[in-house]
Amino acid sequence: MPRKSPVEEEVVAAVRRLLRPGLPVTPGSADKALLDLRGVLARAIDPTDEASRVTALDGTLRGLLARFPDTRYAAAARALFGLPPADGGQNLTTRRILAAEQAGHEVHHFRKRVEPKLVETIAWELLADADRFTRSAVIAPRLAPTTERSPIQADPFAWEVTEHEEQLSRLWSAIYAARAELLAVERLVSLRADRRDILHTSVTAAWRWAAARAEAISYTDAFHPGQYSSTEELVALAGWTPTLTSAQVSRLTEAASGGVSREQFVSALHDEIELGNAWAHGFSAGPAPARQAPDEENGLPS
Amino acid sequence: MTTDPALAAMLQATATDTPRRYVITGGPSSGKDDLIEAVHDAGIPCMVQEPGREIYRKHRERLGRHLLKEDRRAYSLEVLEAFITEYTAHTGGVRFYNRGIPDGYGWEGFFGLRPAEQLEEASRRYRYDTIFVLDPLDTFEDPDDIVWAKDREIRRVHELIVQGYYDAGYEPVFVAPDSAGNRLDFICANLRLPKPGQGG
Repeated sequence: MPRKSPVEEEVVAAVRRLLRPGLPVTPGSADKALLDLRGVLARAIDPTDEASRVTALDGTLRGLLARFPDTRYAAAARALFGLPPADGGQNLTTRRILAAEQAGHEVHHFRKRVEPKLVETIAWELLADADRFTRSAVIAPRLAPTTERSPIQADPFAWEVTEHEEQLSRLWSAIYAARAELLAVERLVSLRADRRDILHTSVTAAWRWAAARAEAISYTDAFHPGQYSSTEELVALAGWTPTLTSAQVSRLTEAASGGVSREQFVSALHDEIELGNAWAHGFSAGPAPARQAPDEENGLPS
Repeated sequence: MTTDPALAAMLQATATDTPRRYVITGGPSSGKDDLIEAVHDAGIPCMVQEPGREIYRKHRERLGRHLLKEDRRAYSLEVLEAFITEYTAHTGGVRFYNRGIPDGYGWEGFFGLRPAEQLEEASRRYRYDTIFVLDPLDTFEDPDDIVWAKDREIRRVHELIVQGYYDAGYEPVFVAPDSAGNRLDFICANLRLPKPGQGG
């Protein structure tokens, strides 16, 4: 799930505080504001372990300083934080003198005018990095009109990223298909439509919903937990469904797995009278529950 | 054959010296393949192909489906084995590597796996001399300044690979986006090797 964005001022202040000890970052020198950055959490081997986050923060800062965007001040920024041209263990005063020298400024001017800007730049780089790790959780992938072919790089990472996007597209297409049918049932109920029409649509909704659940299971099995959400949270996005037992939910999912047609789904559940009734009655139950006709109480109606 | 006689002479003269191993790595879209090709064209000993690709294809073929969480560990260990074989086979002089053992940290991190013990052990045992990280050639931004999901993920892969090298105790040298020739010249200059002179 998306995390609360870090407050910019907090990150700037935390980077400023890090100046005194410099790199490497140690558990004592790292502020929570920095350890909570998404880019740091994402790089940590164990995001729940502070030591692991400290290591990730250290790596993140080293990477950012190695690629400091302003070439004129790149060496100064690195020296200021204790990376070469500074030597390990130098105190801030020594590092500052060296950094001022690298930047071609008098020390006092450097400390007052340049240093705060360098700190701010690093903070912004950290925030931009965190933004690159933003999870657009539980929203469908954004699509744009494409006019050019975009070949996939021959690289296992690129293949996996593409596979992930494929699975994600299948998942969302299934969730939206289920949502459409669940909405259709509610609309027909509200319109007091013909009971047979409502039942027919509710079966279609069951098929689509169960297919979406099968897709969600396949997705969460293939990709690590937390990437989007749990199976149940994902299918809940399709909309409200009648209460079923977990055995009934499993049975429904099993019948819809493997891209079966509606007919195959209905046929697989033909003898599931209780399940069919629970699903159909769930929609009709409400302020004015309607009784089901006896001939429809025989498994899932077609 | 190298296009530069000074480079050729140096490579020949140092061929039996202590092995010097240099890794070229980076996420997809970093221009790694073009650079590796330039390394080959310059006649510098270099790993022919990243072993991960062929192993990945074989895993997919054998499974008949995409990799699941549990498959990725097996895949990752097989790739590690290939990297170790490649590492130990080199006994003298300069050699470039198309990705290195610590790339495994990036792979495992991308899939939320903890680094395998074998990876930790191999990273301690088999050390490279210098790591060159190719910064991405693409900015991953469209004209409206929107970064799409796939591109974000590609960028994430890149950052996780870089972090993997920091985790393994390296200080990578970042190679700015440029033509393969210019990047190779930069790398050679960094290693005090004669430039192949094909920049541009």
